[in-house]
Amino acid sequence: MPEASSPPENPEESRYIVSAQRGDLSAFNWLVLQHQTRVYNLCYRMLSDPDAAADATQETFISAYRAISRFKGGSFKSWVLRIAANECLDMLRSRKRSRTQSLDNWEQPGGEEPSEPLPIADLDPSIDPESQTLRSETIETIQQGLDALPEDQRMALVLVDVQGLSYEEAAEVTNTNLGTMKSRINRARARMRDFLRERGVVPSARELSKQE
Amino acid sequence: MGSRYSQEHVHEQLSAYIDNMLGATEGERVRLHLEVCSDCRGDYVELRAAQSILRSMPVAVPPRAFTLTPEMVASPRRSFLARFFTPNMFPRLATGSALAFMLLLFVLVGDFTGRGPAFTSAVAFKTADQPASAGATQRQSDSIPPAPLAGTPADNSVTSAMIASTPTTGMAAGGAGTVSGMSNAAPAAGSTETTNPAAAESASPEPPSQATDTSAAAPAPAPATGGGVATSGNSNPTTTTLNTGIAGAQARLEASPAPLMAPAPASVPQTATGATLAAWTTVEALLALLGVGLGVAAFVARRRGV
Repeated sequence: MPEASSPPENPEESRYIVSAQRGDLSAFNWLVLQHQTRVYNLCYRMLSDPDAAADATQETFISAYRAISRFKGGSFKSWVLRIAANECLDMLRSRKRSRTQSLDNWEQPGGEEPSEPLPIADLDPSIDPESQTLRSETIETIQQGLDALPEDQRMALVLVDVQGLSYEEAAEVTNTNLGTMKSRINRARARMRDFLRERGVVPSARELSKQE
Repeated sequence: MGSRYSQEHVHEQLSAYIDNMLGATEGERVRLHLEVCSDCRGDYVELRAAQSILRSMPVAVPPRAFTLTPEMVASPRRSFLARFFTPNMFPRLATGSALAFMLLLFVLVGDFTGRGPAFTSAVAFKTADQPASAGATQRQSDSIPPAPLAGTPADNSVTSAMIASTPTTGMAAGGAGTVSGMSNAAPAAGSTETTNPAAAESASPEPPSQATDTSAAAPAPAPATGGGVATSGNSNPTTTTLNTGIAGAQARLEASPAPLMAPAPASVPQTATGATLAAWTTVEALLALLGVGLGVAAFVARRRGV
């Protein structure tokens, strides 16, 4: 059970929500435009495939419209993301099933791993995230690292570190408690750190200390 | 306090520490530890770097707008049937089918071994009637000491003997035990308590009268009505006695015309038993249908996932 329900983030949003609950489709579509980028990004990071992410995003909003009368207040963003999270997990499960029948159903982005560690000169470990742009190979490697995580850890890491949700919001989206979320983040980050360190994306502590 | 506590490594708390999710005391403890432990400090720095990189992931631009059209939401996304026959449903349908078949097997095995519901309820009706009719005959001959009720172990042997073999064999098989066994089956069937004393009363005279009946067509003089009852429905003495069980009170009141009455109510318990049997057979058939139906549905659902 989520420990705290997030407050509504956008008070203006409430007007549109109420209209949508009365069946106003254009009001609902305003809400779609507000949230579709983060929903698409969640699906994209979880499924690592743009087409699957688009399908999941569309399904998410259709489900959300059908279920909007059940929204009782609180964070609409968390509510929509929860629908998206469940949609992603459903697709991952059916992907697992179809994988046993056909190995080529889903294409993995990035292809092969780099044969040698990526140069780390571009990356300043003590970074200001806003000014940092990553190379495309790095982005691919990170996505591979996400794909290598178990689903619940991947979801936790995407929500908190990629999407920027708080622990409480992430717990609400995944319908777990704060303690579970903390442990998932801890494990997911450590695994991601190991994955990236092996590929030279994250410099090791020794190298980091040399730079000081 | 300081040095002793800070010697405990803090790897598990580092992520929460990075995100300011630790309480004040715990956070302070981690901070102090990081000052003195290079191992944990190295871990901390690497985790922060990993977090920063994740935060730097570019925001993917949606390929299109995902706004809804009336067509998308008007019709149900998938019909009920389409939603039901999905690969997701396959395990549930398969389990349901397996359960239905297992239940069916259970019921069938019960019937064959004489412990099943169809079996015992049918027998119970028969035994319910028998003690009552015997009681009726008893009153006529009067002063019959009640027989002790035997334990239930006799039940199965009685029931199987009665149903499987001819009534003759059944009667001869257990003697007093037979009757008491049957009387025990009567309460099991839910018949009223009145049948028990009837059973008790009939216990001793019953075997000899019935034995006499089955052995010879001519009824014994003393339990005249008992013999009469037996002869009236020789092919199905158990059912004739059952008649009186169903109309127990009536039978006792009109004990003398019992032989006459016997054939009349003969049909009643038969239909009652028959109805019970039919009900359970229906249950078995339904279970079989359910098992097959769910199995087919599971197969269809699985195929749709291809």
